[in-house]
Amino acid sequence: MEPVRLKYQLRPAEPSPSCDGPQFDLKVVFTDLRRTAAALAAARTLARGLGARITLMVAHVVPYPLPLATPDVSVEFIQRMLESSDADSVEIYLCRDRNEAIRDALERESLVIIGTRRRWWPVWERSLARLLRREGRRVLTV
Amino acid sequence: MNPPVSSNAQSSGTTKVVVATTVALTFISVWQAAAVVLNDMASTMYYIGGIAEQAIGKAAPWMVLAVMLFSYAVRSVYMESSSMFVRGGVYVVVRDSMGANMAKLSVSALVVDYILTGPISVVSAGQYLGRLLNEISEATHQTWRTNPNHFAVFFGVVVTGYFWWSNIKGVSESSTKALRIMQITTVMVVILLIWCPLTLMMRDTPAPLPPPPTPSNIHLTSESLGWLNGTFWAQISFVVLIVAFGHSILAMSGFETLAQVYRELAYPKLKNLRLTANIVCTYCLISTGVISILAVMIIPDAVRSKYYDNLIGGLVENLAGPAVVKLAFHVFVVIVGVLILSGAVNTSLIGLNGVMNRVAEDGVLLGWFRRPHRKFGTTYRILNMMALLQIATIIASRGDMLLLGEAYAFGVVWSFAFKALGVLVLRYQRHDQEYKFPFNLNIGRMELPIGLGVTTAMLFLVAIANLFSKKIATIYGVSFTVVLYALFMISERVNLGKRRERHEELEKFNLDHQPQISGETLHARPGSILVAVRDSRRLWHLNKILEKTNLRRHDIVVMTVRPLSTGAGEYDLRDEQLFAHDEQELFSHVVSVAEKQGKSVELVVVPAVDPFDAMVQTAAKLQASKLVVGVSARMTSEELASRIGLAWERLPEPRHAFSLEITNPDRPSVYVNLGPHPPRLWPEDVDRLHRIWLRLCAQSGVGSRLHHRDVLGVALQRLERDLESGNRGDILDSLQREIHKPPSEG
Repeated sequence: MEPVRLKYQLRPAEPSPSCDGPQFDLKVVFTDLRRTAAALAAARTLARGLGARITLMVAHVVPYPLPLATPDVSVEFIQRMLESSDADSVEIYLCRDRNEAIRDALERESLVIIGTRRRWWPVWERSLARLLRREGRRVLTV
Repeated sequence: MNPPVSSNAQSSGTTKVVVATTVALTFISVWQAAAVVLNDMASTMYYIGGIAEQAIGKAAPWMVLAVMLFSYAVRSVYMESSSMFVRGGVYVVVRDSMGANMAKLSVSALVVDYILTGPISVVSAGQYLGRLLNEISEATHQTWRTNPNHFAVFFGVVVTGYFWWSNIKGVSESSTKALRIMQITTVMVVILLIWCPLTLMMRDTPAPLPPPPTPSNIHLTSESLGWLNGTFWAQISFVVLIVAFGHSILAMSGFETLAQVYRELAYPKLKNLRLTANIVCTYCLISTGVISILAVMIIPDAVRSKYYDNLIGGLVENLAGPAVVKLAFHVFVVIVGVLILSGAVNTSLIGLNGVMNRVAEDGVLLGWFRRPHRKFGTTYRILNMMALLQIATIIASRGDMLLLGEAYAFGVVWSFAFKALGVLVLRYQRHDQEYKFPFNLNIGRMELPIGLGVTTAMLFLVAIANLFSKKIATIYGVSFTVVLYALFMISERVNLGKRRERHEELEKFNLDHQPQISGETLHARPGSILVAVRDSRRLWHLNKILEKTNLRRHDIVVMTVRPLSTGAGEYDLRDEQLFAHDEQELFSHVVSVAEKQGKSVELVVVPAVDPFDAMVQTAAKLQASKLVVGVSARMTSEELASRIGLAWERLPEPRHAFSLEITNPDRPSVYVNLGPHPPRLWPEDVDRLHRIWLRLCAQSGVGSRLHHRDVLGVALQRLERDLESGNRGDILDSLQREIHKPPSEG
């Protein structure tokens, strides 16, 4: 199942410090506002050293029987909500399955940061992290 | 700015490109689609048996089975409507066939259906859970008991409240959960289908089948006859059968979801829809129909009335086997029931929200209802209103499943009837049905849709019978429908003043502006097929390519050229200039064609001065294997091929070779290889070449070392020399004669 990708730039691309190739892209998966803020802060620290750009990936699940084009929360609302986030760009995926959407959107060698909840029971963020690690992505959980 | 590809192409080089993506091109498998529909439809197995038996007596399971068989006919109605409307639920079908007022009426019935889905499902789950708690308490010798009806109301209110809040927050579960729930449900159904026959075999006396559904075996109570009680109509056998059928009709509620998932079904779409619908109908026939029959056979008559509200629970209790194992299985049955039935509450709220938002888009509902929640962005006013109605219904029902079932049937049957009538009317208004309900009689030029007509008539008969036989359902359903209809009418009047123009329904595209084309950005692998489109009314070539392309091997990229005047390429275009209304309209049609075929395409807009340069540059950058264009109204296929070929020659070295297909709606396509390629020789030239080769082999003494290619090589070298040595005029004359040689000679 292919998700729908909506992409927008929050701030203009900064030149890479080395200026000899495309900037490294650090991906942060949106979980909830609090944990995403923590993940973004960790990503910003990492990005400074690497000269990387931060992309926030938001997989918004549209439940059946709603058509995928008409999510229960409008894309404009999600955009507004993330306007003040510390990411360089935001990618919003309208999808039926969150994990599949994120997995399909990430490149093989991506570096991903996920803000997870500390719970003794299984939470989707941790299962996503496991899934991505299994497929060869480098995943940091904060 | 795109780097210039050649000095000639500089002025016509692409400035930047727009990659358009939309939600339309997302496809799911047959199993996923079936799971989504079954989450709604299969949940009725938990309550239909009990409700139907209370209304019509012991023959009820046969009526439930008859309804499940009839669901194959309703499936065909949905298939025919889906073959015309990729995104057509009841509202769209009825609006397009019978107008806005009938559409409002039908959507009101659908809303009643959705509102009742929640309470009936959640109260049923509460009944199962409450009775299981009592059973566990009894098994463990506890004195605590709960009143199942009160518990069901409490449970219903809590669960509805929970899902209302999660819908307000916009937290949605992934669709894979639907598949998991159906997998667990299937395990339960399979265990029942094995355990029940074993139980019957182990009994000393064979259990009789339920009595056949003849008028004498159908015992309609005064409640189940409603206003027909004591009238002449109640004496007519046919009326009795229709009334009995009407009491069982809600067994097939949930078909509307089939229309919603059609849009996302993968290629071949219609075949997959048929497969999905068949899986759904067969699953329900077995799970709902057969299990209802087994329940009547296994649960003794004397105690069955105790289990009307939890028939499967009663079935498990009466199975053969150790009590502990039965209790464990009963717990499993209740867990599955709570999962699938509670899921139906969530689906009903989501569906209600979707339907109300859909009608609001048409201006039939006031914008006030669609105001987003300040914190969560959801349409909380619609959700609040619908959840309140559901909770009020749960409390008013006092946990009475029969009452809820009666009321539920109102919405189910009327929305089916309106839908079938809409599809029937469209038979005479449109002629683009890719699938037609079977059993059509052709008399001359006239087609009589016998099958569709009989199904529609049957649905209306049942709907009318329900109207008179179910007093409370009619009062509830009609009141709700009238209130909703009035709300829609008032909203429309208010909105009419505000609305200045009605926009054509166009796809919403998400634009990704890229400095240049690349296969990576477009998600197109090398070897893709590039289809150039310009006119939304002339997309037959896209249709042809979609039909014959295997997407596992080749991706399809659809491009359109945004024409620029000479010199404009030096300036950056604004986004709205790059992707204006024309492009949006064109791509909306492209998406609709692709959706109908169930195949995904990538979309790209390339601004350029010269469209031919833009096409070949795009094909080269994508490393496409083929460029496909439609035949032009302004030039012949040969001229079109020649201009594209010249554009290819202007590409910088190394030039990527690909073929060109020029399609014509009435004739076979013309294929041209661009760049160096082995020629396709005329048969007489092949013969001539062979004759020369034979002569040379015999005379020259070169023997077996001489090949046809050597003969051609020498001929070409001599032609090249002649061209350079002043015989150019003669050669061109010969070429002209060759080109214009009549077909009979060649």
